[in-house]
Amino acid sequence: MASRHSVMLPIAYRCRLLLAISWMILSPLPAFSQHLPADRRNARSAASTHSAASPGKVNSAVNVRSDQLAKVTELISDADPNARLANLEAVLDTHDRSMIQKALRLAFQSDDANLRSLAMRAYIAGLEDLTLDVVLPPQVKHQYDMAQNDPDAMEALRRQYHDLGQFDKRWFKLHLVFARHTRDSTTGIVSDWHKGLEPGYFRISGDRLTASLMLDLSYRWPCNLELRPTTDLILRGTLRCLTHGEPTFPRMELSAPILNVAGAPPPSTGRR
Amino acid sequence: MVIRKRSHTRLLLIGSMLAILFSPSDTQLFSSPPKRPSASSTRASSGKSLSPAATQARRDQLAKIPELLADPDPNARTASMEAILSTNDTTMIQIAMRLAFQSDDVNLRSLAMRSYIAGLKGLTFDILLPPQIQAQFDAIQYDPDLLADFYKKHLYVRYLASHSNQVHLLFSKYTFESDAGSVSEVTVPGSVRAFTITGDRIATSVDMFFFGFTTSCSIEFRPDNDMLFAGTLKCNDTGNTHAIFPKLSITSPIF
Repeated sequence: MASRHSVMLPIAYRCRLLLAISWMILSPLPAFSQHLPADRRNARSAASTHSAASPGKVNSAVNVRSDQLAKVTELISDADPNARLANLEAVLDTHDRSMIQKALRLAFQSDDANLRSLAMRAYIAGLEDLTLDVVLPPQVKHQYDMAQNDPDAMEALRRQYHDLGQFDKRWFKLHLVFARHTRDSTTGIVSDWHKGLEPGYFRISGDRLTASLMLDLSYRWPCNLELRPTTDLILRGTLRCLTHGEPTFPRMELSAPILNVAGAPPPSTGRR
Repeated sequence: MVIRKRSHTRLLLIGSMLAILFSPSDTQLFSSPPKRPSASSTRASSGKSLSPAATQARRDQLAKIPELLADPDPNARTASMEAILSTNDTTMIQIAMRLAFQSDDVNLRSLAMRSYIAGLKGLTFDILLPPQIQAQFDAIQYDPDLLADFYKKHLYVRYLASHSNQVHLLFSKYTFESDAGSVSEVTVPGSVRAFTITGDRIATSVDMFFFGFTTSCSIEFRPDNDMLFAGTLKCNDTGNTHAIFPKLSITSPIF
């Protein structure tokens, strides 16, 4: 029996070794992949789903990953607010995109002010640019929609609201570019996507982002904008500009989906 | 013997692999050894994972903040607040600021105010029209003729509307340790005035440019317990334009 065991054990372990190595190769866990560049990690992760491994082995790896992602919910929903914060910091440190996005969604859906603050700083730090929909005040939007097929009415409306033409040329979009901001900083640089304009600055206080920057409009002074994440995963805020002439719109609403998952409100104008 | 030795080697190898593979997901998230909960060590930003022990240490560190700022000894509270504000740990500082602005400890509020302003380049306030004037404006704002008549009666509303009913202050030359710094308003950035933080209150004056004229405005504000900066703005009347500015309320969210 002893000699039989000494022969059988290596075979059994050989199978388990093969299984373990397969899982190591297939596994997208950060413990193995965190030192790889992000694109290589993603490629490896994607390749794992198309490898020649048996469905059973792939399912096991998927289960492990599924458990790992499920753990994120548990960590960010901890009853202890300080544990939630510490856990979110730890998840952000993994650089695991799926886990981070899941954690950020949960944080933005919570009413924990400190958690939302950290999530907002991390979210903006992870963005290079952001495109916001500019939404006209309801009454002006109604007039604008009614004037779409009436050139005279449109001309009159543009005389009344001289900014209207400027936003129309931008397809009612505001494209911001962020720089010099990390998760641990509360300030950074922001500029309009249009070239040649002096950059402005932004600040994140709590979960509220405020910015002051020059826009490619007819204004002489910077415009002020503020944004907050809503619990339905939309960045919402306002844009207000100073004019050196006649008053124009008191303010315009801004919105953009967070993590590209939320259903942002439909654009305010028919022109895209 | 050879087979047995090879089996032991493989056993060790596989054991190590399986230990990694089947360890709880916590240890996959947090694989670094526990770290001391200092501000620098716990704010890992180098991409390294934290261990559960380090995360627990960070949790304990954050949990300690309310305790420190609720110390019965007011001097200990002040010392703790100073220590937290000196860490450059954004999460800790924002927790401490919220607690300080909600407290009635004047020294904590003053420290929080100084730290907040030191971190600013600019601060934008909404200018609130008197309720009755606001109601009238809301009713006619989209009718060009009625709006023109309204602006003739209340000229200052027109000027404020050209500023989108906001005043945007630019702060400079101010550090957390100092009481005084410089401030200007965005439409006249070259007109720089001094400001001083007294307790948790800032009172200063700035020049503001409106269409065709510049006027001096006095402005003061302080944090209230609802996490808002609240205060007043009063601009000098201008004889040549007959724009009479009443004393107006201003407000800006702190967070």
